[in-house]
Amino acid sequence: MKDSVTTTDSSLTISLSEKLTFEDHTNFRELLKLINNDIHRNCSIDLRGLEAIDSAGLGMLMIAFETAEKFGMSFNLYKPVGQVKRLLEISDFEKVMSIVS
Amino acid sequence: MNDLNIIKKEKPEIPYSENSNAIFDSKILVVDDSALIRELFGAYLTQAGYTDIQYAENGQHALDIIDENIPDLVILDLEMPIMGGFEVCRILKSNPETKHLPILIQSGRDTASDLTKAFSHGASDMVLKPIKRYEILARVKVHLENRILVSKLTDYHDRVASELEQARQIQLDICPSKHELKNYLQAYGLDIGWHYEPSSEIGGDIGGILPIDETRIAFYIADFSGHGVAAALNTFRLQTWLTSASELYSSPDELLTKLNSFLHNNLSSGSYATMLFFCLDIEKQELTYSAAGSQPPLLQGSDGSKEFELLSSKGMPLGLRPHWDYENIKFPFEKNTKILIYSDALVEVEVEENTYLGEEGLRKEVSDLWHEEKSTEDKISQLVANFHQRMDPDNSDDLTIICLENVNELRSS
Repeated sequence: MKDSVTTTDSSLTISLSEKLTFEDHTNFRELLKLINNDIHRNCSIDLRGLEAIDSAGLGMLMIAFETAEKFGMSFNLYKPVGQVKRLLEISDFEKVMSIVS
Repeated sequence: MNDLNIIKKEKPEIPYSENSNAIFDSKILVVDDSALIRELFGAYLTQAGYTDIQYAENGQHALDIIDENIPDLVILDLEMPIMGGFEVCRILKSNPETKHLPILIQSGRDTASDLTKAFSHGASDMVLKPIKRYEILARVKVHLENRILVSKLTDYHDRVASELEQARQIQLDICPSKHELKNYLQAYGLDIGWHYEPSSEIGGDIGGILPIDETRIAFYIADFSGHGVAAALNTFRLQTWLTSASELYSSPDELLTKLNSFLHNNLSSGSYATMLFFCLDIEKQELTYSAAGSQPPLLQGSDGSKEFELLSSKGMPLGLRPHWDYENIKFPFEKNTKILIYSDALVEVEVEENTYLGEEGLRKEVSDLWHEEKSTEDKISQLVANFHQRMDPDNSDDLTIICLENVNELRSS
């Protein structure tokens, strides 16, 4: 997984690329610390560059959502594609969080 | 002998690590045709604290001793009567019981070709004559400590491997046996094919058949996130829960709703299981199922000439949300109707570079395969063979394939 973070006064955008898998667990925990604060009101995970995700990766996205929810932030997954999009659809994630297509 | 007495009076000066006490109980075999050299080694080793030293005066004598009791280290001369050191090396390395035995060659031969030959015959190390006390003691210590460490690691590996093998057997026992599958054919008129293989010793996939009464039978497939021991332990947790929830087998939606709450309370954050749970009513010829984000099942209706179709498997994976309502889907399951359920490993394999089989690819493959005049078992074996051809051995996953066909006219036979 590769990631980049951009922020404005109210928004936090985390862009993920390549693959999000079990091996990225530690790095993803670091990213969660960015959500885990009271600074931003909106959080978006940009998935345009993410090519693949495994079961652990899907769990991490749910943890990111729950962390944002806990801090009252709005949250969305931005433009997932391919296998990532398919797995999010099959898992009914759009019933829990906003997925921008 | 006077020289040896002088040596014995000296104090050990080789520094030993805290964990090295065990090395002094190690068995050391000194092999040399010179009695003086043997005594010299014996004196060095005894004075350093080693207590179990044996001696051999030629290669054959050494092999006889090793045959009775394998030592932890052999200090070996090269040029001896009857059998020389190179031949001893060759024989020890060709025997599985002694091939890891460290061999420390001591020799006056020091040309490049001698060194090369010694190591190519399996020597672990080499010291040159004249023997220097500190050098020989330092090298003996290194090889014995390595031997003890490797032995500890090997013991640990063997114990874990044995425990995992027992766990694997318990997990395989959850899958129905061929005998049980035959009984289901007799009792319910169902031809069932089953394949399960974990990617390592044990895995996170689980499937099962749960008879309800004479006309109804439930079955399921589930896949826990992650692989290995943690995922496997969760499969046992699921099986235990299911055993105590038999009143829910005929209501797949309710079962998944309650199982979701149980898993959410018991799994670590972000862990989950995907699952399909089915209840088949043979009398009504109706299949009811509920889905929690598993792979889409493949269904071929009673008209066997048509292709398989993909059914919905949409649903929140179990354990991710505290409360979730699952829904039932019903469809007819008349004579000749078949359903194939499988874990994601089966479709997440490359058929060409950067092109994965996917559900649609599997649907076509299964549609073609099921037109052939083969038994269900043979068709599943073919799917498994295709999978093994395509899978990446460095990135393997647990595989489960289950196929059920309603062959109900066989019930009375």
